[in-house]
Parts: sequence; structure tokens; C-alpha cells
Amino acid sequence: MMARLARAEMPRLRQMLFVAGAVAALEAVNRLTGVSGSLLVAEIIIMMVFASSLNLLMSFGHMVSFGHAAYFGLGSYGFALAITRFDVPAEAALVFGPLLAGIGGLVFGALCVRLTEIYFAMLTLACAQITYTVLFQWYDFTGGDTGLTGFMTPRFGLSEANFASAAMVLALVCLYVLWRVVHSPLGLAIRSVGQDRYRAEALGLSPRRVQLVAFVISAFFAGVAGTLFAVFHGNAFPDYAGLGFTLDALIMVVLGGLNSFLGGVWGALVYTLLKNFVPLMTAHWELILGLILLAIVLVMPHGLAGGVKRLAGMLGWGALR
Amino acid sequence: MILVQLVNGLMEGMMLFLIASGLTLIFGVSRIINFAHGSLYMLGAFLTWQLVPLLAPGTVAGFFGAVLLSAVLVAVIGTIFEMLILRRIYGADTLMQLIITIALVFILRDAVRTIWGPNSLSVPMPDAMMGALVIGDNFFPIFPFVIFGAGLVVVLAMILVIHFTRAGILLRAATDDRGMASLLGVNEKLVFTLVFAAGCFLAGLAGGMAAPYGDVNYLLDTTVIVSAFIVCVIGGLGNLYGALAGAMVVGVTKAMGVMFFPRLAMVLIFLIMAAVLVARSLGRQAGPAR
Amino acid sequence: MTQLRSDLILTARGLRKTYGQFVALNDVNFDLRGGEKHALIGPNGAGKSTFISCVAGQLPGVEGAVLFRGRDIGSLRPHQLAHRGIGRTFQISRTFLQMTVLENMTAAYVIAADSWTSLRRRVLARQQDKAANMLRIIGLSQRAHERVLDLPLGERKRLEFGMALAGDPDLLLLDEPTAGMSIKERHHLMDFVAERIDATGKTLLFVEHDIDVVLKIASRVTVMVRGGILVEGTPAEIAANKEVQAVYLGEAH
Repeated sequence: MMARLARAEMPRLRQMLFVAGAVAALEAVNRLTGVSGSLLVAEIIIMMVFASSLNLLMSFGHMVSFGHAAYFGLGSYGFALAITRFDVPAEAALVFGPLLAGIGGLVFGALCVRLTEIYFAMLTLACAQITYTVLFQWYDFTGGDTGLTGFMTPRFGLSEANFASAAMVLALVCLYVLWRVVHSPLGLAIRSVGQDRYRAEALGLSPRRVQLVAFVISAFFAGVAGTLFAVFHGNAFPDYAGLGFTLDALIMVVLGGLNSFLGGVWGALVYTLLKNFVPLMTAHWELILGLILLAIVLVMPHGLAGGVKRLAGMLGWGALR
Repeated sequence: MILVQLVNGLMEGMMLFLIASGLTLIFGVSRIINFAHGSLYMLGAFLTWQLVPLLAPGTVAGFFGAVLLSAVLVAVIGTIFEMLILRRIYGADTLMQLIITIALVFILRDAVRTIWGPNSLSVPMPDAMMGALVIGDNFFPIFPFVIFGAGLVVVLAMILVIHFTRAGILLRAATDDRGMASLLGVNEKLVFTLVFAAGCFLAGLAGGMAAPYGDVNYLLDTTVIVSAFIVCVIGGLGNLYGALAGAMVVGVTKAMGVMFFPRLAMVLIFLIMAAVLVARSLGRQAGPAR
Repeated sequence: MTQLRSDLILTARGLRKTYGQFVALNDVNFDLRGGEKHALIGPNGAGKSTFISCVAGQLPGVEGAVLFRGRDIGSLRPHQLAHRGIGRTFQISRTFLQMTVLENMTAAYVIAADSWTSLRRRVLARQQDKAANMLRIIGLSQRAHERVLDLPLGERKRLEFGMALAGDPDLLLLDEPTAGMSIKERHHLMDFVAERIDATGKTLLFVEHDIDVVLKIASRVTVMVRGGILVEGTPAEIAANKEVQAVYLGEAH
């Protein structure tokens, strides 16, 4: 009892200070760097939600999804289609993005969790490609490769800075919910199955059921990110469900650091910054990205969060997990 | 019309097999999913573009010479990558292996774009293969037949190697059971390297042979790798004959699908892939061995 | 023979399992009475682990019937068996290596209470208290916040045993609990196991190679050979049995 309290309560204050500091810093950048800064901040925040949704699967459930963009894309299209095809008011349509993504996660997830390891990854890839192809080919409904555009004023007409602030609030809510999931009995179950499905099964868990729950939660939050992205740009394209976004999310999680809650957050921050600034300096962005990935795997498999944790450990603050 | 599409389908199937065979071979032995396989294919195509004019432009021998040389160069590059980097992470978790090969995708794409530029290039067919056969009312371009024939030669060569040489026996042992190979006194590292080289050779070969077929550009890598995954998964990862069957299924489905329901052709193929994977999972699975 | 006695907790009838040509279990009939500490012994490949896996619902394609408290459990999955009251450990110890000792035990309690869908902290806290209590019983309180990966094998096995106890099972299946341990560690672990079993009135079925441990702990012993049961009896009977001695002498190199 005592041990638990001592460990759980002390760092909470530090964690809250850390979050407050991070939010203040982002908001300062948002307000002080003009329109381009605000756009960048908004993109970073949306990607933080997207990457964190995948991180739940990968870091805690040990499920490597190779088609996470499907749910990002379904989020965008759920929102955009509700407005364009079903005349739902834009504000109310916000609900339909995550909802469609969650339903997609339920259907595809039910199939995918029957498999493990590389076959799981391959089936998530197939599901994502099916989603992409349907969005791409179904001209009459989804608009095909021209996507859906012009159905709303981007960002509901908010200024770039105000949109970024609003997105930040929403992202904080999402991250808080994900944090609660990870630190709840459900999170413990997800981690258990991720680490040893046979042990979890022998203790009385149905591994597939746990994995499906994790999959749907993850898809739902990817859908939130996709919806935000559609609001941000005022459009939806099949590419949002394509291999490109899938790879982005994977890279963010691995770069940020596996096995830590903030991995997706760090990864989204650093990757989005690199992606926006490195190409301005050199034509060899992809070469640099490739070398970064090699370095991550060979030198620091726990990514940036692992590095930060080690640094925090050296400074004597064990709280930054 | 159906006949023409069927023939086209088989032609494309052979091409797909050439691509997928290398991927499935590497997976079968070293359990590595080489995401950069499409990039190596692309590299083979660009090298062929570079080499054709240098050798004997327009001739059949010049073309195949260029293709073979490209394949060898690709194999050399692949081997260097295997020995320097990939070797360190055999046995690490799947994700890390995937990330390593994805890193290679980015590096090769950057290299290709730096060397050959962002625009599409086209490799000329040898003059002798330009025409078409006319059978009844149907036109069959010759080049795909030549590719099909060349593909058959590769398939036969592979069968010969696998069944009748010492290397093939070792390969089968290594595919079935990795512990087995080391029992046979084989240097496991060497086997992995050679298999990786062979897989890369096949990727380069496929890229070179297909080069005159369409545009050669730096976006080939992802389209090719996705097709190769589909073929391998349908055939069963690591199963060479399965890959042959899978390639034919995909080739013919694509060709037929384009005729009957063009918009759904790709969806159909992914559905087949998903169905095969789901079928794998049916039935009760055994627990841990111990 | 077919009449079930009420004190039988586990009954196997005509159990048969093949792997291709190899017959791992050949028409095995087996009875286990409540409160026994029953050891399965026999040479390698005799089918002991296969038998445990069959009972634990881990193998597909098994012929025959397994009854637990008189009910057929042959078609149940391992997680369903856990909730029916069968706990187990594995030959190669299975725990959640990247989690702390306390988290491992808490997971076991959360799962046993079937409250894994909960998001509430209070639920977690309640199970955590039970887990901390069990850690005290198995003597791992000092290790509560260490990762299992950093634990020596003996303590991992002890943790795994404690996790199997979390569901308060009636029957415990231990598949070679002492594999890979030193003689001293073996006796240490198995003395502890026997003490817990006696204290809680549970039934134990375990596979063990160390004959000294078996003779000390077990109340009954079954000897398996080539997929079948050779003989069953008290430790004293088994020790005196000529056939068993022949098997073991044949086995000893």
C-alpha cells in the first residue's frame, strides 16, 4: 500500500507541470510565429493524436498495424461524407468521423486479431488497401481521386492560431483518455496479451477479445485525428488512407520510442518538424530519413522517449514516462 | 477477347512471380520481410535503362545482357546491405526488421532520384521483339511472350537448383527448419547472405525485364512491393510454388477484373488476399509448444 | 469404470493425440481425486506435457473426453478453463517480462475477477491490494517494483505459481515447474508449492523429472511411457515397482 502510494502520487505533480509547460510552449509558438507557425502547430497536434492512437496498439498491445491510415482516412471521410452526402450540419458531422473509423476498426479488427505477428501486419495492410481502393474508385459516392472538397470553410472559419488552440484542447482530451486506458485494468489486460498471449489466456483472458477492444479504441482515435485533419484542410482525399500516412504513423511511433506512452507525441513533434524543415535545406530528405531510421534501430531502439527517459533519469526526475 | 485477357493475365502473372519469388525466398529462410524489395526492382529497371545503350542497343542479346548485368549489380548492392546492416538484426522483433528495410526504401529512392532524376524514363524494346502475333482477329504483342518465356526459364532454373543441387537441399532444409540447417553443418550466416543475394538478384532481374513494359520512375517501389506482398501472402509466405500460383491468380484476376468490373479489380485482389489470411486463422490454434 | 465417483475432480477417458505418424497420447484413462498432489513422471516423449496441454485446452484435434468435476471440458478454450477453476504454469516459465512483479500479479487478479474491461482506478487499486497480499505470501514483496526480466529464474517460477493461484483455482497444473533449476532451488520451490496446496486444500497435478522431489511431495504418482500410462500408485509403491525401475534404469545413461 505505502509503496504504491509513494510511487503513484509523487510524480503526478511533476507530470502535470510537465504537461502544462509543454502546452504553454506550444501555445506560445502558436501565437508568436504567425500563420505559418500556427499551421505547423496544428499539424503537429493532429499527428500527435494519430501517432498516439497507433502507439496504443504497438507499444502496449504489441500489434504492428501496417494499415493504420485506413482509420485516419475513414475519419476524414466519415466527417466529409456526412456533410456532402447526408446533409448533416458540419458541427454535428464531427461525430461521424471517429464513429466511421471505430466501425471500420471493429470490422477489420475482428478479422485481423485472428492472426499474429507478420500475418496480422499483412492483413491490416490488405484492409487499408481495400479502404484506399474503395475511396479511390467509388467516384459517385466518395468523389474518387479528386476527393471531397469545398464542402466547408476550412477550420470552420477559425483563424489558424485559434484552430491550433482548439485542436490542442481536443488533443489533450484524447491523450488523457488514452492515458487512462493504458493505466486502467483494461490497459493492464492489453499489455498482458501483448507480452504473452498464452499466459494471459491461461489466466482467463480471451486474447482476441482484448486485442479487438484495443484495435477499436485505436481506430477511433485515429478517426479523431483524421476528422481534425479534414477540418484543418476542409477536404478529404483517398491518400489520407494510403500507404504514405501509414508509414508516417509507424515512423513517428518508432522515432518517438516504443514502450512509452509519450512515444507517439515525441515522434509526431520531431517527425513533423523534420518533414517540414529538412526539405527546405536539402534535396535529400529521404536519404536523411532513411539514415535516421537506421540509427534508431541500430543505436536507440527505444527512440526519443527512451533517450529522454534516460536523460530524465540522469537528472533524477523519474516521472517523464 | 477473353482469351486475350487470359493471356495478358498469365503474362502479368509471370512478371509478378519474378518479383515475388525473391521476396518469398528471403522470407522462407531468414523470416525477413524485405520492404525494400520493390526498391531493388526499381533499381534493376533504372540500371537496365542505363546499360542498354552502352551494350548493344536494339539487339536481343544487348537487352538481356543489360538485364542480367543489372540483376547482378542489384544483388551486389543487396549483399552489401545485408552484410553491413541486416545481419545485425536477425532474430530481433519483426517491427525492427521492417523498419530497417523501410529505411532502405527511403535511401534507395533518394539515390535513384538523385542519379536519374524525377521524370519517367523508358527503356526501348529490342527491335526484334517489337511486333505482334496475329492469331485470328487477336493481336498478341511479342514482347510479353518473350518475358513469359524468360520467366519460365527462371522458374525451371529455380526448380533445378532447389531439387538437384546441394545448395537447393540446404535451402530447403533452412526453409523448413532453421535449426536443421545448422545441424547439417552449414554456415547459417553464409546461407542467409546468399539467399538474400539471390532474392535481390531476382528483384533486379524482374525490374530489368519489365522495364520496357511501362514507365521507369522513382515511384515504382511502393506499387511493386504491395503487389509482391499480395502474391506472397496468397501463395503462403515462404512458399515458392505458392507464389507461382498466387502470381497467376493475381495476374488473371486483374486482367479479367479489368474487363468485367474495372473499378473493383484491385479491391477484388485485396479481398482474395484478406480471404486467404482469414482462412489461415480458421480452426483451433495450438498453444505454445512447451 | 464409467461410473464417476464424486471425489474425482478430473477424469480423462480414451485420450488420444497424434502428430502425423507419432502417437503422443494413446488411449489414456486417468483419474484425479480432489486434494491429491499427483505427480506425472516418465521418460522424455512419454506424453506428460501433451497430457497437461490436453487438459488445459491448449491442443486441437484431441480424441476422447476430459471431465472436470463431472462436466465435459474438451471443447473449452484455455481462458474459459481458467474461469472454471483450472490454473496452470508452463514448462518454460511464462510471465509478462516487461512488466513489474506487482503489475504481473495485479494483471492476474484483474483477469481472475473478470474486470479487465474496466477503466476505473478504484478497480485497479482493489486488485492491486490483493496482488500485494499475494506477493507477501509468495515472498516477493521486496521485488514488487522490479521488472520480471530482471528476476532470477527461481523467483520468476514462484511468481508464475502465485499468478496461477490468483484465480483461486480448484486444480493446479504445473508443467515441469522446476525445469532449469538447481537441486536446492527445486526443493525450495516445491516445498513451498506443497505447503500452499495443503494450506488451501487445492488439487495439484504436476510433471516432474526429479524423482527425489516427487517422492517427497507427491501423494500419488502416475508413470507414463510412450503415450500411455504404465502404472499408478503411492510414492512408496512406485519406488518399489520393478517395471518403473526398468524404465528409469533404461533411461539413465
